[in-house]
Amino acid sequence: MGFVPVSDSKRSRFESIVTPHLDAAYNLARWLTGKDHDAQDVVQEAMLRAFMYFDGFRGVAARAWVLKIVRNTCFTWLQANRPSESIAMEELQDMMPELFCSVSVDDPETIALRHTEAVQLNDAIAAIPPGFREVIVLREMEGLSYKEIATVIDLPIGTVMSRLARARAELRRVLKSPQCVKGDNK
Amino acid sequence: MTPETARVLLHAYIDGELDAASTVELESHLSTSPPLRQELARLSALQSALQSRATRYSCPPTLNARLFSPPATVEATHAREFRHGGVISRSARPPPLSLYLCGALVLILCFAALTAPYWNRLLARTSVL
Repeated sequence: MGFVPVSDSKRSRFESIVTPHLDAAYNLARWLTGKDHDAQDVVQEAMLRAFMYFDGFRGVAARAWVLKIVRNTCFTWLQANRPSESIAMEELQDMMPELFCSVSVDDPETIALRHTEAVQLNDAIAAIPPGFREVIVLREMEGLSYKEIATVIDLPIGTVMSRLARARAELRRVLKSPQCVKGDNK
Repeated sequence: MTPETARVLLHAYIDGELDAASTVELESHLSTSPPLRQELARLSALQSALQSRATRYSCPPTLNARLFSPPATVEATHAREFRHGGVISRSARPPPLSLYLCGALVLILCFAALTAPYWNRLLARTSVL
């Protein structure tokens, strides 16, 4: 590994900043890479990068800072290892949520969503493009604010909202078609 | 506020990210638009399903160990290499605060002892006056 000896205080400061966010880091990497082994490699690589950039860390918004590095490492890794999955963001911009039209009183979709099981939800999250998956993970699992998500994915807050809107529309579309979930889930 | 804008703002609404003015405006739309209320119900159902049932993975202990390997129970000769074995190895901790305080106390006592004759003379002079 050839780690350059550095001051002990820097290392322990780094550790105390990063450790509280390791679960969030791993969860994001796990969802973006899809596999435990790959997620571990990506997080390890991300921590090396984070340590290199640590001198430039201003000491605020540590979670967003850590997750941004993990996220960028994930996408670099996806581009190198699964080029088909890392689709360009321009493609995402064109996908608008479908207009809802059915307006019945007892809405079957709402009822179905209330009873969706964990395995279906997980399959649906895995089936949507990574650009949508990451905002769902950051918002619904990690509870990040729009401002924090904007920092992590390096986009304006307004774009975070519309990206989330499209991601949720995409999840709903996948959840409505069971075959699609099975077919896309690798 | 157009219906399309209202639908997008529902997301900020369920995420608690909508400012007060827009919230008032959106809620007045909700009171008059059943389709918008239905969309809100669907989004809320999806959100609560994701938050309560989708898997949130935890960092495995093996990865934690790979990142921060402790230097414990390693021969002194190999200790240094081992310390740099992990990605960001946990190294020897700085001495605890109590050790610093003990050191400071010893220094103060030494200073007091060395300057004792001076203080004695000063005290003697003031008592005479």
